[in-house]
Amino acid sequence: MSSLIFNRALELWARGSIDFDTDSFKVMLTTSAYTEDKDAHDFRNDVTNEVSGTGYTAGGNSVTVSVTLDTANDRVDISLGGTTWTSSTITARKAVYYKARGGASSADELVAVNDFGSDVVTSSGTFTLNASTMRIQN
Amino acid sequence: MTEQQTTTESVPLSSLSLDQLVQLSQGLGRKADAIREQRAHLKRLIDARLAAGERDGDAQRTASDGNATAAGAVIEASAT
Repeated sequence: MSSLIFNRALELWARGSIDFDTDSFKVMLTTSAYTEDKDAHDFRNDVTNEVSGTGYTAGGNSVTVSVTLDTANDRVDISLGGTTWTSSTITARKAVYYKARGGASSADELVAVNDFGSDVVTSSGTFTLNASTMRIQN
Repeated sequence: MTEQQTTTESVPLSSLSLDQLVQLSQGLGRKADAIREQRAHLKRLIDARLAAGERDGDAQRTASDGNATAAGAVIEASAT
């Protein structure tokens, strides 16, 4: 599988239910056992095989999200911010971004998945997740 | 063999005629088009290799001190 944007995220964005400028977002890590489904997966409770280990808290970390209009290239770039897990011992393959409502996982809308392509492993070290970009090309 | 030499002369744009400015602009436009086509070709190659799961070898790794970095991604949705 590869990185993707969940279809529901685009729908909710179009309907105004997701505001990438003002809403709160988080990113969680999963192992390679999680198989994303851009159609069927729409809320956080659809995500399986979240990583566990020292230095990682279920649900992941908060991230900064921002929107940039690029008229020169006819596109909108939504920056999905990076984050770090310090003093961690974890093995992760994917990062799943979602809108964090602060309550039940069944209410948190999924946004996108970044598949690293191979496992990323820390051993009592800092896991750094670099920022990704969600690009809407016109 | 006759050695060819190229001489470059700088001319203020303000001294060029309208026709010369148009020709210069068209020439730059053709170069821009060619570069755009090359860029599109490269993008197709990159997309094909990313779709096949290829990543840079040093994009993610565990360092000897236990740290690791997961690369970011550009995830596209097309409106076209």
